[in-house]
Amino acid sequence: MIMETITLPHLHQHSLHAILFQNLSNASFLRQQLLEGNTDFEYAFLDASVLFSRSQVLAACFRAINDQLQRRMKSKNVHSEIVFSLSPNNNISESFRRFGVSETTKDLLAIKVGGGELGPTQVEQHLRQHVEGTPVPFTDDKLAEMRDEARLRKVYKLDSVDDAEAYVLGSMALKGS
Amino acid sequence: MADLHRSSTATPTELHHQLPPPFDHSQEPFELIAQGAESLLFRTTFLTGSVSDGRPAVAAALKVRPKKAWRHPTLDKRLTRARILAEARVLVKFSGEGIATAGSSSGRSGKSGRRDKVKAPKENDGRLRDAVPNVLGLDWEGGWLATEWIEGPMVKKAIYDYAKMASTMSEEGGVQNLKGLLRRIGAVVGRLHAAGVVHGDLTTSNLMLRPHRHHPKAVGSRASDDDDGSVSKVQEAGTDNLQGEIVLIDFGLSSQSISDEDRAVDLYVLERAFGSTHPREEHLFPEVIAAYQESMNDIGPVVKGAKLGAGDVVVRKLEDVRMRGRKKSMIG
Repeated sequence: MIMETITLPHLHQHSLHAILFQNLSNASFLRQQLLEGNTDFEYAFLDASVLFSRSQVLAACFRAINDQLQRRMKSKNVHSEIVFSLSPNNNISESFRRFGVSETTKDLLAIKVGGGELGPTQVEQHLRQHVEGTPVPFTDDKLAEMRDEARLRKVYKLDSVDDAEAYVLGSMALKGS
Repeated sequence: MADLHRSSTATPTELHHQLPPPFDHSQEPFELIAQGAESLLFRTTFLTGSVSDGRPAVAAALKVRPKKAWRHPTLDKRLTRARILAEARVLVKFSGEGIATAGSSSGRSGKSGRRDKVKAPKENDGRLRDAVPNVLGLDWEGGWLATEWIEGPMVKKAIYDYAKMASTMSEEGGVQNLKGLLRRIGAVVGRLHAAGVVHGDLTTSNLMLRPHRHHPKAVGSRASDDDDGSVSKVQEAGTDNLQGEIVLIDFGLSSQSISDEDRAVDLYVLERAFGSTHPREEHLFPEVIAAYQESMNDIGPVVKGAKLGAGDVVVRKLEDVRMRGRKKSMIG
């Protein structure tokens, strides 16, 4: 099975289904489904060029799910909230442009918060059917190959991306304070 | 009350009433490490390594500030929020030291930031980055802050263990190691002050001694190197367990300050705490002061007249504080 199902500590009822796709070829189709609000596409589609690490993604998921449980999400649903949670600032549309799928997205991380009526097998089938890209393991090494350091420096206001993960996680956690 | 002071692994159900959501429905283990007047500290997992996940558990420190029923709810919320955020902002600011683009630090430092720029900010070499725990997550409404778990003993325990061993060791070598530890403490406190922050509660319980790591931010692929490294460290520990990197924890009472008075009080609190916790080693405390003075003179802000370094000024102030105690007299 290529899809990974992740259990976040303390959130065992909200498991995450994740597939990392390399060389995406239908970014505009996926973006269109989100813009049209197609309910078959309830995913967080993340542009892998601005991802540092698994921890960064998991921290965004934790915050989004926790904010959902506390009924204080800033965006429509938990999946858009994951995209928003990656941003270090409060601008929602900017966060979608920067971290969500766009016309130019080359590599894509698809995440679905589980616990709904669809089982992992159905989620994986649906994703592999509609996302045109090569599934690869969701690892820090793969993310490091995919990232665009100049973009990362810009969105997180960094001079250097080396050892910056802690600052990125901290900035995400303090967002909105 | 008293039995809560000991460290204990409790099943989540025993602690549910004290934990904010989502931890009140967690299946992860919580180990109560410490309880103070304001907060509870747990060791648990965060982000990676759920009990129901195959991945190895990564330990995290979870600080919870429970609701105080006797406080007005609005005031209680405001205080909890302010304290969680004050602590987190300091930690995040330091985690971005030497990395974050100048002026973008989340802990907006206001006046102090501008003042520091008068001199080329030499302290921005990133060395404080590894001297505080990293923030993993927080919720200022729920009243919790999750940070990286710092491995290693408290400095307090390291010095107690040293004292036990001291009789069997060659006297001179042991003392040199202890002096080295004290100098590292002084240097890191100087660095902290030079960066515009006072800790507010410096004790040997709030200083950790983290074993040296070969690759500070090693990723999984290099785990085997690290394992070898830690094994040899453990073997070495018998002869010298005062080695390691000083990590400052518990910034719950910290504040952004560049006042000499606040800095001197910070040192004074440490001096008094050290004296009462380690009376037999108290005579060596001047090592802390000397290293602090050097470190502040070296990296601290330039003082107006420029005859004295920033460290000299604080140490002079410390003498005043010793004369009168921590609280400034409000009379006259």
